[in-house]
Amino acid sequence: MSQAVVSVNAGLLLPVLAPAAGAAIILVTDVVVQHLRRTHYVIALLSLLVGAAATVAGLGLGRVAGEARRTLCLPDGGQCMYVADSVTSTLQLAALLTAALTLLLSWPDDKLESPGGTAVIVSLVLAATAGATAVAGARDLGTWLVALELATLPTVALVALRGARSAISGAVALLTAALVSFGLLALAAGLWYTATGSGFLTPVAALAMVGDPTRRPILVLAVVVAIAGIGFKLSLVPFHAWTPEAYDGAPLPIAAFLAGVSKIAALAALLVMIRAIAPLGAPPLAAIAIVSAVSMTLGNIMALRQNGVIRLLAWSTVAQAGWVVLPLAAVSSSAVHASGAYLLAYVLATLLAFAVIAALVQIRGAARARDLAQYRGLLGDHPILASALALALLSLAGLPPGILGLVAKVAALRPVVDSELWLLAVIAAFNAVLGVAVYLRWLLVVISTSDPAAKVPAPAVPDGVSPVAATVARVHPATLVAVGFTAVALVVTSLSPQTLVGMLGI
Amino acid sequence: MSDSVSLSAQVVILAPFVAAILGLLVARNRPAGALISIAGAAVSLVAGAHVLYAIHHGPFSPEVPTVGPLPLGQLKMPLTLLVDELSAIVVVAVAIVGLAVQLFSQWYLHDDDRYGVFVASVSLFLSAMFLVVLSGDLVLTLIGWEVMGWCSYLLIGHNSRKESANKAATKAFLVTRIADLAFVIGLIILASGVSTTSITAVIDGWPDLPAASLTAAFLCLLIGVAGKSAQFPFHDWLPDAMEGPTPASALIHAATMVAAGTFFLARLFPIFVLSDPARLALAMITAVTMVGAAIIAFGQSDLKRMLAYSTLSQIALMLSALAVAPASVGAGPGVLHLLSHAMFKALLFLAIGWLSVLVAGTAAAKMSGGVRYHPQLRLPIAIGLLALAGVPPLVGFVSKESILGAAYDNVTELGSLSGWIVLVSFGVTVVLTAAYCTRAWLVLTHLSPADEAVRRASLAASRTVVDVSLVEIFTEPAPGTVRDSSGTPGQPAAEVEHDHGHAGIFPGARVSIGALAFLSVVGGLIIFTPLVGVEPHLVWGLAASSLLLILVAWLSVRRMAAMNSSGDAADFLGARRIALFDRGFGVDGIYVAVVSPVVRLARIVVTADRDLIDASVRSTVVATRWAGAASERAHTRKPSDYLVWLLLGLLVVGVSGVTLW
Repeated sequence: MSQAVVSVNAGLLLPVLAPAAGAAIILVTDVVVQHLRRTHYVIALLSLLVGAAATVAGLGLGRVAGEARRTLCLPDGGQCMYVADSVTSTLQLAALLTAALTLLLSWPDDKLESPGGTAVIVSLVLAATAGATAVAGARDLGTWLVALELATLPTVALVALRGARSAISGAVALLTAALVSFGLLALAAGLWYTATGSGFLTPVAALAMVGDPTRRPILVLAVVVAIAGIGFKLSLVPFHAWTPEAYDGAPLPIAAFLAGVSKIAALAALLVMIRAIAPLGAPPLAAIAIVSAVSMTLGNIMALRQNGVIRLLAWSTVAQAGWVVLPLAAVSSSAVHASGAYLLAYVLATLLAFAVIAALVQIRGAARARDLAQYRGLLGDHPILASALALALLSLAGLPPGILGLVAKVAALRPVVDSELWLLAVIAAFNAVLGVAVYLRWLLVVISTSDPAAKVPAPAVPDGVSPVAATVARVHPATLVAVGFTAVALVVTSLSPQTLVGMLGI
Repeated sequence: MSDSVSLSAQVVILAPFVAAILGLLVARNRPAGALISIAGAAVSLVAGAHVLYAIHHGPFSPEVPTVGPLPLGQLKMPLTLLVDELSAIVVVAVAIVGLAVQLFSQWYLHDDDRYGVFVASVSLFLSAMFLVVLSGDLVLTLIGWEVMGWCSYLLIGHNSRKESANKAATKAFLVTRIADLAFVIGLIILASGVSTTSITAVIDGWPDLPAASLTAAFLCLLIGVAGKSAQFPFHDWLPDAMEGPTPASALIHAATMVAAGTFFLARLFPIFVLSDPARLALAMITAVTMVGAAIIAFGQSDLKRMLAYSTLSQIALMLSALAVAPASVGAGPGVLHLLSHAMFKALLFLAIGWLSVLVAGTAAAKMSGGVRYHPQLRLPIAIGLLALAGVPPLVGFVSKESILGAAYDNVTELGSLSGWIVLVSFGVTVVLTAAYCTRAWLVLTHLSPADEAVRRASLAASRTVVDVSLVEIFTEPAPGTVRDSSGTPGQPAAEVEHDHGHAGIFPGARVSIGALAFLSVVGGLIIFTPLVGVEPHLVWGLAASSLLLILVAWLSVRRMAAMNSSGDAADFLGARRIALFDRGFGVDGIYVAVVSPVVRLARIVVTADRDLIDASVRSTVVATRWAGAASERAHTRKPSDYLVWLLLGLLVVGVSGVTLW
């Protein structure tokens, strides 16, 4: 037994340390050698891939209860502050790969941008990613809180950095949300500590208070407040209002980052809390059921009314967030897995949609790529991109051949049905239908034949979006790599959904 | 030995099935299609003959496996074939007719661009019929039964460019489908009683089960049989089915499909005989059909349709044998008439088909005197009509006398009501059958006085087919003597036959007609073999009186014919009444009367579906739009409003979390 206060296993921490170190290296490099761009991206990608490689050992762990890799443990067999099991590792891997893909989408183009902010952007992305991977493994209140904020705050800067008016308003909305969220989470942490007398977010800590009925309401309040705080980050109604503003104002890759890494971080944080209370044998969580049902419904209804694809995706995120937390209404281990599986399916499909939009921005210009009506006849003009987009939309809708989405929806409904939450199940089924309408509305435009009248040049480019509209440009290879990678991943996981489920260790 | 029987039994079914698939693949290639279809039927005939030989000469296992049993939990489904004396002899008869039809089609449809599809359908049809005959499992029976129904639809609608053919095909399909519904229910009752679909198990098990259930099952099955065998009140599809090419009529609507019902009841005879109510029902159905159809047949202005109605009557005859035969007699008489009818009716259809090619039509007026000008047809048609009328020693006489014997046994041994019903209606039918046969023969041999003179004046040398057109010119009937076919509106005209450019008959077709004629003459000898299992059993008094009735009918029809210059005894009825006969006494109207309330009900349901159920679904669209507009108004994009929502949300989540958890 080591005599150190805590044991440290750096290899285990690599998924967190690698992006953090990458951010530091980039900042130092930028100080030493200025006007570098691609170097930063290469360093960032390398660090993300190193981190991703380090998660592989944890995939599939957890078939045996309690099987996990731990570090930062208190001496004498005490609790550990960092636990990496299959769920943690899978979420970390997803966060790291998603970050890498968003970097590919924002790969610098010499012709277009001044080299100024590259190091800042890249290091902010890496820092937020490090926060996301850290929160997945965190098992103590301090790490949990700090890591979650580390995952959030850089995104505010990322949204704002573009400097356009819509970006600023989006950043303000995001910042407001982040602040209130942090307040609520800090309150939740305090309540947790009051209820359990422990700084650890573990079943051991939660079970300690079972004997004392007076502390139970406090624990409940802690969980509910934490749900509210995380609801901001997951864009759950009624904590969702920043989402369309921020997505619409942010540069496209950053919107993809918000839809991907931020959501992974938020769910990872929620899962840490839920897994801590799952062994209590708690009855279903009405709070989650309510926000889930309302999120789905409102998200779908609003998505149906959007005419811009980014806003549509933003509202779709709100609806999908409802689906992500849906199984958690039944507090159980299988619910945690179902929720994780649904998140991965959603992230994969959404990333593919964003990647296709990014490619279209490069070909057709931002204004046309963001307007739903301009997608008419896409299948004839760009069959490959249109097919990829169709696959993404069908996966989000949960229709074959996007089988992954279908499997995820069934998996998400199963814990709800098992807990006999019939009303919630009916609302979810109703929203599955609404969701089909949302995505088919877009898909229908994509596959319908192009109308000659719609071929008139796009309207004037709105505030500050890069004016490439008229030029027939080629898609940047990095974007193509991102499209190809996500599309292949979606096809493979649709063909054999069990690989994704197996990673989560069910 | 038993292995070779099993193999042959499987080959009987598979050979035409394979021929059907290959035939579809080479549908555009006429010689290949002909070769495949004829080979398929021939292989079945050889294999069937082998089965028939083998089971009378040595031990064999009656249960022949097919695809293996289906694992269905409590219900056993062995899916075996059942080879015995009954199925073996019927297989051979079906194979003979099938081969004859395939050979005849090669000639008859030689200028039809869809010949390949036609013969492939016939092959598939044969395969299905063999499956029904050899089936040892109710499920296999059902499969064969339904495939036959479908093939029948295809074959009737072969001339799909013709509206009337499409209508006739649809009618046949709908009527038989509706009847099949009851058939399926009957099969389910039978299978559920003994928890297996094996026919031997059903026959062994049902005597111990409640008689009421058995009667219910057989009443359902009878509806299916009545549909397939075209018995009253489901009979009306069969005359319309004459829209199909004549070979199809010969195959389906004479020899095989319509007899499938008889065969199936014969197969289940050991338990059918236990249910007196069902037997009485069958006796009544068949009595109505045999007399009614024979009456209608007499008044038909189209000879092909006359044959169709005679088929109804004859099928009713064979079914009536099953309704009255005592258990000691068994299903033999019915099966014997099935076999004999298959031979002489196929012969008649093919011969009439041949004649229709020569005279370009099947209407009685067109065919008038046909046999005179085409004497090569005189013998086959004479044999066919004599056999149909039941004149000794032809096969029809033998089989009808055995039915008569069965009915007599019933009356003397059991004295049941059904025995009397069948006996009386049989007597009436004998007269009517003889009457319409006589009428047909007189029409076919008639020469008007003017024609007679012309014919004698002509060189009288044009007796070969090559010179047919020349003869036609001379024998064009005089105006006024011909009944105008347009005087029968609403009447689906029978198939318009090929023009005179048709090639001379092929040897194969000629041989097939000759073979059927031969079997119709000597087929009666089968009663002296153990192949059918019917004891020679002649009730002399009844036989003599039926012959007397035939003679009376012959003489009176001759007299009626002599009073008409057209030589058609039916003209005695008058044109308006003949139109009534042609419409089958307006049974279509009954169908319409039954269906129209259903259609009205369907309209109500459609309206309710559209205005109530669909409307509620559509209302979700409205509701969603409305909700979308409302929630959009709620999203003002002002941070201060966000905070209000946020506080409300916190409150709701907090309160619900603490109170509801």
